[in-house]
Amino acid sequence: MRTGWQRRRSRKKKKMWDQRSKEQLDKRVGDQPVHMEIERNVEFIGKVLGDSSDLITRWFTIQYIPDRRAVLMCVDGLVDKRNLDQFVLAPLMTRGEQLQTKTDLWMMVNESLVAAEEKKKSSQLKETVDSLLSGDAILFVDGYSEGLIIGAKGWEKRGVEDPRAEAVVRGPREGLTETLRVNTGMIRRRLKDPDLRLKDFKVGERTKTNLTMMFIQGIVDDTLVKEIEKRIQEIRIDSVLESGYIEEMIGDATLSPFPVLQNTERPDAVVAHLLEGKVGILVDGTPHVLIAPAVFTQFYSSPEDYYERYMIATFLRLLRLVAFFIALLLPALYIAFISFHPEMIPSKLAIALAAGRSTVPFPSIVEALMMEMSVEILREASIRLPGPIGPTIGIVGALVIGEAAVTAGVVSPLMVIVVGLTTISSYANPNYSAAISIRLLRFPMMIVASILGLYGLVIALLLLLLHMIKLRSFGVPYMAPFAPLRIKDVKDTLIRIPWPFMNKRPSIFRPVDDQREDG
Amino acid sequence: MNKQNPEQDQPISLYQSHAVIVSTIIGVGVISMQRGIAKEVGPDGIWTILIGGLIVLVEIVLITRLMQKFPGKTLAQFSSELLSFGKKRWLGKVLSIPLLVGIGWYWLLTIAIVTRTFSEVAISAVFPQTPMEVFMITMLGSACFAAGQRPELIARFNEFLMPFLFIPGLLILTAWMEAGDWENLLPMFQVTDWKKFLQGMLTSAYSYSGYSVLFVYMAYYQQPKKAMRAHILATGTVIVGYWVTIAASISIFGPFELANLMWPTLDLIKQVEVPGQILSRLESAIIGIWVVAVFTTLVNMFGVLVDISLTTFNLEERFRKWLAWGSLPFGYLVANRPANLEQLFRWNDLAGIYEIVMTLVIILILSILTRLRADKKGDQNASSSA
Repeated sequence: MRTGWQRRRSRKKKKMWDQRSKEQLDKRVGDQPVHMEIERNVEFIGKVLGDSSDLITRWFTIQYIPDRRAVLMCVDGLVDKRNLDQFVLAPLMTRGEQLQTKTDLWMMVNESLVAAEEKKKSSQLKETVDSLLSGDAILFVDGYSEGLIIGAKGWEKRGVEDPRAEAVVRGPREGLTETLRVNTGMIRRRLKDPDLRLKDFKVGERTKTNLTMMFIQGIVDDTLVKEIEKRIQEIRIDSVLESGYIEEMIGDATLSPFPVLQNTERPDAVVAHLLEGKVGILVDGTPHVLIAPAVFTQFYSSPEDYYERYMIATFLRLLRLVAFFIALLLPALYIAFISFHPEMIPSKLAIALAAGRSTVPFPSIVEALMMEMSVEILREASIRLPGPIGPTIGIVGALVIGEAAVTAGVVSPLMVIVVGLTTISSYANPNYSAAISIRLLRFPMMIVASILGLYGLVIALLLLLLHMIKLRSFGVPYMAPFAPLRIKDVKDTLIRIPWPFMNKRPSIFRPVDDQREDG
Repeated sequence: MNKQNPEQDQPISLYQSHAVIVSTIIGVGVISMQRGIAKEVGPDGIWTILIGGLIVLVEIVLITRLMQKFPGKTLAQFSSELLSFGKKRWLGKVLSIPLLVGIGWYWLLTIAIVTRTFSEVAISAVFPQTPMEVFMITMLGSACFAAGQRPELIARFNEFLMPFLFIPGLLILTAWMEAGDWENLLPMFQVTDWKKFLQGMLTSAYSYSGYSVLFVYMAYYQQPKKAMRAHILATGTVIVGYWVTIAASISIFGPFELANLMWPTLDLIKQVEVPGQILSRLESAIIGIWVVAVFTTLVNMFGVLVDISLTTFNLEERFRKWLAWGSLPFGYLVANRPANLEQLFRWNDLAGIYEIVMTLVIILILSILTRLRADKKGDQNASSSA
């Protein structure tokens, strides 16, 4: 499967980058084996980390004949210190003398003294540094050229809370968190399918962020998994702080205003998408999971649609479509009607409109741009305003400014209605990233309408549509299942049919096993 | 690894082929065809439009049958194959050029006529103060964006837009219900002058122009063998749509008034009263919806023109965009040629005849050649087996 996605860098440049980062890594860490003398290991690690203050080095003695010096290293703030004390340090320090001198000390340490589930021997200092920085503790014992990596990750994390951006009335209230393992656990808990597969990657030259790809073997199309894997492996970047980085690095159309990957912070939504044969991409450090591929209609459906009864869900979806058009077109239509097609407005309204606009000194485009911009500013400001006063200030600001602007004769009353409706409509979209692209596209529409009226508006819409039809998300046409039309997949787009009839998975994602229920 | 275009794994489906035919044929013709027909045959237009549709249907069936013998090949490709004798491939190329130029010229002409007609309507109905060049350039320019895409994508574009073509149909039906007068349709058979009736038939047939785009689009079909039914159905859809339009126009305006209207369909829809009085006059809205119909016609023609140039010269995919932009000035120049509306209408009629004749000529030549080739091959097979 070839897709429209182009490699952004030539292979040669990529090689150069790899070479460079390898050299830099060698310069910093080098390729040294673990030394028998533990002082040298400690000195080396201290040098690599530049003697940072959060590096804990605990020297101690294992009582053995003869006594052996050992050292435990970890990074403060990343490890669970109590666990380390109780299950690693305490046994080593107190139970060493019980050991029979015949057996090998290192083997005993590894097998019966250190009580941790995750353990790994390592003979490369580079590896030990890496795991030290991702929250493991390292044990070196004098006289052995191996280190023991002990899994003791334990840092402060946010608990499971409501998904803020995707609230529902009916449905689970759990949202994903910033910790990758907690998230995979939450997804696994909802999907006890042995076919659920997790594949780990490390991205980001410096952040070394963990990334996990999730999919259900046997449903998902293998070529899709391979394609996503390939694209993830081709990422060359120093840092990945949020899944947005990945979205732009692997997405098909970086320059398009439309998102071609969906993000969600709801575990139930992730599971639903996995069951449709899509792939989830989880990034450590963010609750937002990427879903690939994504088509246009899925940005207008909310998880709640599947939990409420089908009629209500269908009604809500149609309502969202109307809201989509209002958010995109209403100000543009206002401008087109006022400046080009006043004959279309019913005459009584036209008279009232003219009276309202009689004090307004600007052409309608200036009026509309002014109002739309101030609403956008208000909206942005109310997000940044601290806590509970944000929305209040937003509403008060909008009301006061709108009212005052009309009284002052700067805008017409109808314009205030238009702006209000537009703003409310753009909030009706259940998906934030799709909603902002519509907010953005409104402005070009307004400008076109002010130049060529309805005709220009339709031409602009046609070109926008052409772009959307051309767009692909990992090989899946963005406007599917409408163009190309897959009549059986329409059951879950603008409408949602009841669950008893939803017996096939959507075919546009090419699922291997397309049967959802019998029938 | 060869660079493969992702569009190639979405070949044109049967429904898309349906959409391509419907939205190519429904274009500028629908806005003014009633006048010419009413002038020649009066109320008998409701019969001639059906007969004209049948003529076109026959041509479409012939094209389909010819193209089915060469699945996956456009006119440019299989005609040069058929016309080359022995190992002289260049001869086939040279001999096929008159055919390709002939049909290509029709497409360019239609692009120009469509653009010009649309601009004239837009100016006379809604934008009296805007210079016509603005419409011609914006229309051709935006069609260029679409024409620089692969035919599969253009077909998908048509597929998505086809439902919108039925909105004017609904409005026309509403107007017919509201203002139609059945007596205007009577007397039903009144053929006094057979020559005029024949002419009316031809005029009706021109209004279905545009079907020759199949010469290219059929090469990108997923199931060319099954295309016949979809094509007949699509043509049937258009015939029904046209019949409704003409019957509604005659019954609302009467044949005599109809013959004097410049843009009968526009006047027809003006009759509609929107329930709830949300909008008072509909011209601008109609122009807005009609842009879609015109745009798809334009894009399909333009796409075909670009694709046939691409396959004739065997160019790479990336030249598609440049070919589209390169042919834009020619379209614009031709569109500027007709001095006035009168001339434009005459051009339209001539283009209609030209398409019918040119398509027939191409079909005849290539069908005979195919038959000859098949016989020869059959003989060879027979002799070798014997």
